[in-house]
Amino acid sequence: MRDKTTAQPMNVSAVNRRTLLKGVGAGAAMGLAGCMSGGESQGTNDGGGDSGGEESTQTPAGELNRGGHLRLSAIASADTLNGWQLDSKHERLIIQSLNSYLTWMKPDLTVGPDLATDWEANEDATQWTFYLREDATWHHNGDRVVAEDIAATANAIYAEDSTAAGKGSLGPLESAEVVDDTTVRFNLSASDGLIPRRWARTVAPIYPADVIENRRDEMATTDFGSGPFELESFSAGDETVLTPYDDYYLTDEDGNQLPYLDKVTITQLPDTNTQVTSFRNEDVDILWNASRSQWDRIKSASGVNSKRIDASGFTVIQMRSDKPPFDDNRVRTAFKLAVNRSALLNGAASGLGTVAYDNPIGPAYPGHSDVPERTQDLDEAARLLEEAGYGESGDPIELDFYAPSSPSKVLDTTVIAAEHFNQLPNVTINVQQQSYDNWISNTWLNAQFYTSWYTQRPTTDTLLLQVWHSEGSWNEAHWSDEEFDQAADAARSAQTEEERNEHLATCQQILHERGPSVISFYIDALTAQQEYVNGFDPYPTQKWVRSQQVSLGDDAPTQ
Amino acid sequence: MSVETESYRNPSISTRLGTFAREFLTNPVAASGAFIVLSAILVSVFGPYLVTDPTVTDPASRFAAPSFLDPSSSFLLGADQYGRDILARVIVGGRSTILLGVSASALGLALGVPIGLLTGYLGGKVDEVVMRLMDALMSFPSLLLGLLILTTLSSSIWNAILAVGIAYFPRIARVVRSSTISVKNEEYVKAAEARGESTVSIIFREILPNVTSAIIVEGTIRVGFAMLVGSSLSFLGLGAQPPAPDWGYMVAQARVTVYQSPYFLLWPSLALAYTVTGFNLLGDGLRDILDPQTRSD
Repeated sequence: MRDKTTAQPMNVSAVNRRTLLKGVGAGAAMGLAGCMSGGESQGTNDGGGDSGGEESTQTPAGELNRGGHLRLSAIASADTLNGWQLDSKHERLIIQSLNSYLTWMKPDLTVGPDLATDWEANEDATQWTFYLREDATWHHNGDRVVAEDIAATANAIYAEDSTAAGKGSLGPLESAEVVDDTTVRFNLSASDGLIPRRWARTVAPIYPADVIENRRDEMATTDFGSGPFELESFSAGDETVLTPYDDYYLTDEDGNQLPYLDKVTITQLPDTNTQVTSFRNEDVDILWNASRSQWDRIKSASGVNSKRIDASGFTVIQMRSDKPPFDDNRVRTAFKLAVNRSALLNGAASGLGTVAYDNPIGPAYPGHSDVPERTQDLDEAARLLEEAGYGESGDPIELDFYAPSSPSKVLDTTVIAAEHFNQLPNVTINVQQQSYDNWISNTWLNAQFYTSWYTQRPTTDTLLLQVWHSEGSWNEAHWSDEEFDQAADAARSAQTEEERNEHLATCQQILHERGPSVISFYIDALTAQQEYVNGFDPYPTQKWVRSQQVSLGDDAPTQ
Repeated sequence: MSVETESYRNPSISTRLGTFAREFLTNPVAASGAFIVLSAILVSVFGPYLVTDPTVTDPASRFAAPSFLDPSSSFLLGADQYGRDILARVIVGGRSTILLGVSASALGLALGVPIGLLTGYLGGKVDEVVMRLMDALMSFPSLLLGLLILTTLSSSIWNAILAVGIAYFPRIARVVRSSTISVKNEEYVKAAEARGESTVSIIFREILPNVTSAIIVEGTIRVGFAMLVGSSLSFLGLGAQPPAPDWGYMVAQARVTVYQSPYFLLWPSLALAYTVTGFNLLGDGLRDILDPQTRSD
């Protein structure tokens, strides 16, 4: 993972050491060193006016200190504290501060220890054993986090009637069993070499066994975490206040208790304009996924460090393939040929990314393989439609094309792509914009033709297995392809990187050729923070804000 | 001179129109309102034939991001974030906004006028029951009622017309009712009753012609309000659907990019303000002419 900076790479470790000496008397915060490697801009803008060189990341000027109040914001609403059911960025922010995870994903997407300090697999990677730390405790009763809790969590997420968001994407788990208090074993139905990485996901927080057993209903509204912060107040759809958990198990390298902060608030704001204005007014400390359309405004703010990272997030137009007209690959291909991809990249992502050719595995993923370029070709598209019995002399295609009104990249993709699709003969596409809540509960996974979006996942095969595998829990397009399923399964079971990449390449080729999805561009991850914020490292996956490592300098308004 | 007595004496139509036209043209409020409304309607009816397709993006302008938003010789009012000509969108957007205002107001009249006439003339229990229902409907803020209707149905311009029409008809019914009450004891009504004419005939042949001034004034002023509510619904994403050019929806889009380019926000807002002002001035002017008792000066 390279960050798009031409300035010197941010050496957080060195800064923390210097400032900690002043603040709490000792060295670097744990886990912060070596997160970022510097790099030149990759010059990925073929259309936009930006060059990567404009982005600058300076060494933070603030001082690292204990105490202070970190103010985060989100636009989506938070409706639940149950981390297994999370579906908004706001919930993600809250849940990862309240809860602990089996493993931890570092900003460079390597895996580190969290509740599990060590792990090992058997020879064919069908059995994984995790060794747990002994000093983690639950917020609600102070009891120790034990192997039984991990096993109960894993078994509950994978239960037959489970609706957990992580189900299916955390490996082919058959059962989890307790070996002793601090040892838990995952038995898999197929071999999987990436289990520790898969569990480092925000959708897989660990909950207490007795709560899972007896108090499941309360998980939506009660803090049953063991993470760095406790819940002080939470009202769905409004502001959330978190205070540090005194008995949190992590310390920094020099034995200082984490977290550093006194308080974290996460405020719900109405739109990105308000969010960016609040950020520019120093009412918000971190924009962990900054608005693309306002990137110039964010970058130009004074006292701000901004960062643009190669990432392989994307918007995806899903064509439901279990019924006409998209059950015919010629129709799907015609639609893929109809879009002008660089126009979409510029219009929907402000040019901050690279063009894609219907392959969900972008260049920021290990295992990305190049697929043939696919440029707009309306004549060929018209010919394919004709051949499939549609087009000029065939049946008309008239479809509602759904998109949520937020995030804007999704609606923008939809509006611009609809314009391209409407150039096809005898095709009428009507855009239907919906509220996010309406979209997620009625359209997503159901509608025939809609736009969805994904940020980069920590493991390359996650999205393939979850969204395009015929048995995936988020099979958005109801697509089923035996050859693809076999290749995706094989990639998961692969023992070596080489073998895995070979199967991943097959998957990508199939999706490009006959998949149900139009993917026109990969989006860079954008983050910005006030200069007085220390210890915040942006992730290309844009999922994590490690609030336990964040501290505020003396010049912070809320220090 | 009041309209009621004039129509009672039944002077020739041409005399009445002549008087009306003279008053209309010498009334600055009515004349300027009429000019604005006429110009807005002419531009939105014929303008679209002169501009490019407003739903289509000009790729050349989009590639020039982010400066593509500013006005230039090829885009007189600038281009939006997709590279679409704002001038074309504002001109074509007038169609849906004015259509919404006029249609919703017409729907409100179609529902409200018969109810107002009936309850005003019949009085008694019918009046009590129906007007309490109207009161209940009026107690909902019109935007909220519109939101409720559109969320239940689906988002489209036609449903928005329906929603605004339903939100406004109780107000129209109330105005028509009070006008009806003020004329129902006139001698020509008593005479018709004495002749034994049916209720329907009395309402539509005797009363309706004598409350038309109130209806015209109310209908005209409602157009402006309906356009505002309709645009608010589109602003909230419930009225016109993208890529349709609609002033309310354009303002909503422009809000996101207001810091990059204020023009995108400016033009649809100005167009909306211009047209709504026009309808309001026209309505005020008509009231001055047709209903001299309420004249403010």
